[in-house]
Amino acid sequence: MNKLPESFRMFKEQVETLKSGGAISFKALKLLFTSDVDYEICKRALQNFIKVAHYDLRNPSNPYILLVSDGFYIVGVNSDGKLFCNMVEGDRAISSVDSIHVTKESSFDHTIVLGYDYDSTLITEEGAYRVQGDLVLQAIPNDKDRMLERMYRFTLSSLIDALNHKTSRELTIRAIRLLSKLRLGCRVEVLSNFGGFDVPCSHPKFYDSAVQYIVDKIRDVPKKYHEAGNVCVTYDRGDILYFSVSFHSDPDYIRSLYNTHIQNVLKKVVYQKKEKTIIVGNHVIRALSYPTEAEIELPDLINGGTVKFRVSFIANPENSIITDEDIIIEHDEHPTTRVTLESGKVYIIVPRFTNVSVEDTIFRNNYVLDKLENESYVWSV
Amino acid sequence: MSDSKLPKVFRTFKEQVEKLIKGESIDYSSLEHLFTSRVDFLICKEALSYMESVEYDLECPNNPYMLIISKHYYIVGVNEDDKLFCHIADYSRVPDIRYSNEPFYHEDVLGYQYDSCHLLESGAYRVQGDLVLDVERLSRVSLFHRMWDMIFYELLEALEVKVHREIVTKVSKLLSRLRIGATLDYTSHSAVVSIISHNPFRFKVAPKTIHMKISKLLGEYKRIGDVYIYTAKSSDRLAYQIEYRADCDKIRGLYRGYLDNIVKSLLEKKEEKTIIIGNHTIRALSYPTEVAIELPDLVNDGCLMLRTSFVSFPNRTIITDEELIVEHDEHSTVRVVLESDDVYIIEPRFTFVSERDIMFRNTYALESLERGTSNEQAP
Repeated sequence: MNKLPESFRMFKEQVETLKSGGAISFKALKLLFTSDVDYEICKRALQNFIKVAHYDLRNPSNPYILLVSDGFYIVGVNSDGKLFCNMVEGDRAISSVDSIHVTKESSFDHTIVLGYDYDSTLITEEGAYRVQGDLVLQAIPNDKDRMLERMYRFTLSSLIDALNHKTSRELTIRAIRLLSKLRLGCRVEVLSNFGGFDVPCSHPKFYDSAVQYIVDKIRDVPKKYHEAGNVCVTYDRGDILYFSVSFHSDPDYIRSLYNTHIQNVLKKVVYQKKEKTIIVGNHVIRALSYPTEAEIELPDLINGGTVKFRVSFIANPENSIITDEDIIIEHDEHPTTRVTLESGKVYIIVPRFTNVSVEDTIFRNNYVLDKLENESYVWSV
Repeated sequence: MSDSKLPKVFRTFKEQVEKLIKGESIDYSSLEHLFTSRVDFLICKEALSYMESVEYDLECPNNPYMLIISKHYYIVGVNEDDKLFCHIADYSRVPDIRYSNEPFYHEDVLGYQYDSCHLLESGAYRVQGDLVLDVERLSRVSLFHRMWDMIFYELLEALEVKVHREIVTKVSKLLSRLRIGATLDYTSHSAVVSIISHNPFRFKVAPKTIHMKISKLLGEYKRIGDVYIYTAKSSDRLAYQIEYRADCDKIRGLYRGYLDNIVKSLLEKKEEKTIIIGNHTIRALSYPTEVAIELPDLVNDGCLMLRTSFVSFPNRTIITDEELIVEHDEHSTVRVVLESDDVYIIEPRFTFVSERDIMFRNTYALESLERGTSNEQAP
């Protein structure tokens, strides 16, 4: 255990002293921590303590201790060689220990507690990587062809949604004109949100063949609509007569119709790698990123005119990066970190914090507010 | 007034009604040919079967109307084809004739002021069958100012949304540096910062210090507006609501040149527009009723995207200073003429009839379809 960082080794000794019933000097511990608030959190853990301490010493140069007190606290070593302490979520802490009972001392897995898989700045496979302080990068690798295929699928899917919406609206307007010609008045609640309308009348249940005739007439649209998908006309004859018109395009047909258009758009997209900056807390993440979303306008080959739609290639486009190059991370308290990606792949990178409990945030906020209250807090903004 | 001036069809109908009032019987089937359509005749037949009394509006003898007080209120008038129409009127639009001597004006019942294709003043004009044009007349200068103001207010709103978004980013960085965790959100009206904390009421100075810091940080926005910061405390959080209100005069000064040019170009861009309402097709050369604009952001950076509608329903409104053509498969084509050099904002709609009237007509059409006797060939 000589390989343990000095600050951690000293802290461990104090914890063991406490466990064996000895007294310790809390003041002496303060020096071991990166910040006063981390020390205060740890002090709370030790004062209310301390039944059990679990260790994760699988990597002796990066050790962790899980303290079971009035809650669960994790202590680890920061990049400045000093300690940090966080209050963590109970469920994660309990599931991270190797023993059946959390009160029985054993080893634990710090990655489960803090919510990541690797403590590394080299990203090689899918997983969550802690790369700097409390910053975690969730990484999903793909080869370039697969990434392009993913973009193709997402674009096609958004195009189909846009076409379905526009065509349903066109067919609804067409149906209302037809009813007008049949001298039937109708009420359209929200035309923009296709495609139902009421035909006020007495006893709609009496009109079987009339309703069927109207349905057939509404469905009687140019061949191009039936080729492109399914023109769906439904009706309800409860207290009122209600018709609904919708269009569901055939994905294979739309794919064959728009294949060249989408390929051409994506060719432009993949050559549009631009510098992107994401700020998470005090971490500034910079990388050359492929577009994570796009606004596309294509000719409308069903209705005429154009069809406009927005496509997101990932779930959270504003706060994600798609890249195959190094990522630079800056922070006012940490040295700049370069995250390297294994070559030959394109990665979807989503940054987030390590998992800590809400209590931890409240404690830290109150600590800062207390300091501000006493006007003895020196900040540099 | 002599009945001789009334249209023949109306006079004939009036005679039959008078007979009924006197208690004589009439041959209903002989009335059918007086009506434009069978459904109008059937509505009228229902009216006559339960008739209590009638009122007339004969102010314009060549365009007379009759109100039949029966099971409901029914209005009978003369169509362009010189035959009669009959509608079940909307109760709320009919004066309380049963219990007072209020006169009956067909315009009130059907919801328009003028039966004319010559538009002069603002008002509602019936121009063809059941088609009414709601008209607002305004001078070219007024239209210019209206468009200018509407774009300007949209610009102010877009600017305030963007400033609130910028405020959220700036305050987020400030709190991060103070090592305070917070949730932030913004709307067009404000940015809200929420700091979770145990019993923030015990802090007296700290909230003010943060308030001061935020105020100092947002100082740059004070030169083009006002920044209001409100502090609120609850048992588990300390919150700040930050509101930026743009200085209208300063923003107006900044953008005057841009907006002048945009509105001038809009007023040079008249395009053919077609509106279909029921079976009426209305065509006219219209100025834009809505516009999408990209303006430079002179307060922050980048640009502002705006979409402004100059009327409530841009898709079904025409802004024009030229005549309109109205077509219909049952009526002759009508030319609607503007009688001044001003600009007219025109929104088409139907005359007012009751929901019961629509139901009656729909039920009739469905029955006809059901029997396969509709005008369209049913299966």
